[in-house]
Amino acid sequence: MNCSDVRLIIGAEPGAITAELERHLGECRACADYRREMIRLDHNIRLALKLDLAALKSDGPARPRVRLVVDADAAAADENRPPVSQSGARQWALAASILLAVAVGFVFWGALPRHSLAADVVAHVISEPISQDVDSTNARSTLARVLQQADLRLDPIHDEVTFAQTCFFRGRMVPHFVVRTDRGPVTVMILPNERVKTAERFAEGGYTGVLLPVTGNGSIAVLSRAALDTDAQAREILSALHPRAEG
Amino acid sequence: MIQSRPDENGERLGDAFGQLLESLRPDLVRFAYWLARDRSVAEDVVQEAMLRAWRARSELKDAAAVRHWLLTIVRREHARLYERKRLVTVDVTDIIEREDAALARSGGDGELLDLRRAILRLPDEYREPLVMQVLGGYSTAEIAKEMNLSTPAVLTRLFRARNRLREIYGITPGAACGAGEETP
Repeated sequence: MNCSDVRLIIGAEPGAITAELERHLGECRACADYRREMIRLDHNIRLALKLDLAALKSDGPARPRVRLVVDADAAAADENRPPVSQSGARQWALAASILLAVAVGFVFWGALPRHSLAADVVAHVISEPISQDVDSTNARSTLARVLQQADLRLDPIHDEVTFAQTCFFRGRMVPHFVVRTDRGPVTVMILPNERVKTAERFAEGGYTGVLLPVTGNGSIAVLSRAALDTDAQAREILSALHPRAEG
Repeated sequence: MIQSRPDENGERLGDAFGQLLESLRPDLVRFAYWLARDRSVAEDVVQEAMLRAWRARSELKDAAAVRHWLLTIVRREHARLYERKRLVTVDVTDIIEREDAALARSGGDGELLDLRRAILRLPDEYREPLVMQVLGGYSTAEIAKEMNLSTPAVLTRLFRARNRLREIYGITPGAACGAGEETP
């Protein structure tokens, strides 16, 4: 091990030590000094990186902060829970104020300028991890549940469902699913709160797709990386999609 | 608002997990900040990462590894953000100018502030492994795996990162040794 090797190791991991390194440091004063200097520098780097979180608070407009809360019904159903005490009441008050803050946040968020709907859909699809372990039966039943949560149902379709999930999109939980066609996978997002006047075709981030208005309200996004007719796919999905109330 | 869905772990676990996420948020924001060099972006990245972690909480097998798991999600979320938004490259002087007040507010003496500026000046390929190692506690092998690099490549980047800081920070070079041998 020569000085270059030793300095590489020290520079990369100042605190690391091996018998061979120790032997070299015992014989080479310059490298021993270098190590001391690097350990000191590393200590300062650690301090420098440990920024005060309050100082990091953005100067920009406040953004809605999603709180992770458990389902209120499930919590209420927990019969083993001790009776609500005064501190419990305070917790509820705190929870209510947090919910109010989140609601205000969402309202504020809605007032902010938005990216195009197509861009947001593509960004969401790109960022969404899709499980590689495809269990079609499971995915189909998950899709039924996901659609049920949105008060929708889907007639049987020709293509195999490979993924289904309720996703957080533009402040709402929306159904997101993937079907496998002969030409490749197609992603579908049902967007009850996003209206489009007419069909909007887009090509973004390697995806091509279409946003179609849904009768009543909202829209449906159908997109794919594969070269296929997303319009036809969208029409097929739309014709199979119904409100749950409908027979 | 995300409502947890009933699963085999039960709602109580979900609640505890939510609290755990919140308790680790400061570490995650710091980590995201040094990756993004932008406070707003850091907040967004952490927000997305926490949602992702919440959804994937059943995949966490070892509770002791939760911090590392979350940091990895933050890092990937940051990478995704760059991929999908194609964030504009900003001049490092502008970054320093924009972030200087926040760095100064973080306390410490002038030397520490200089070091923070120097870290912000580091190119991404040097700053990222350094932050992962020092702040995230990643081993060299873990960084290599995460960044899709060889271990020697990571060692070289870490070495160069520290040596750049050493130069920018104004530490006088150590005595020469190993005549004729170039450092990596």
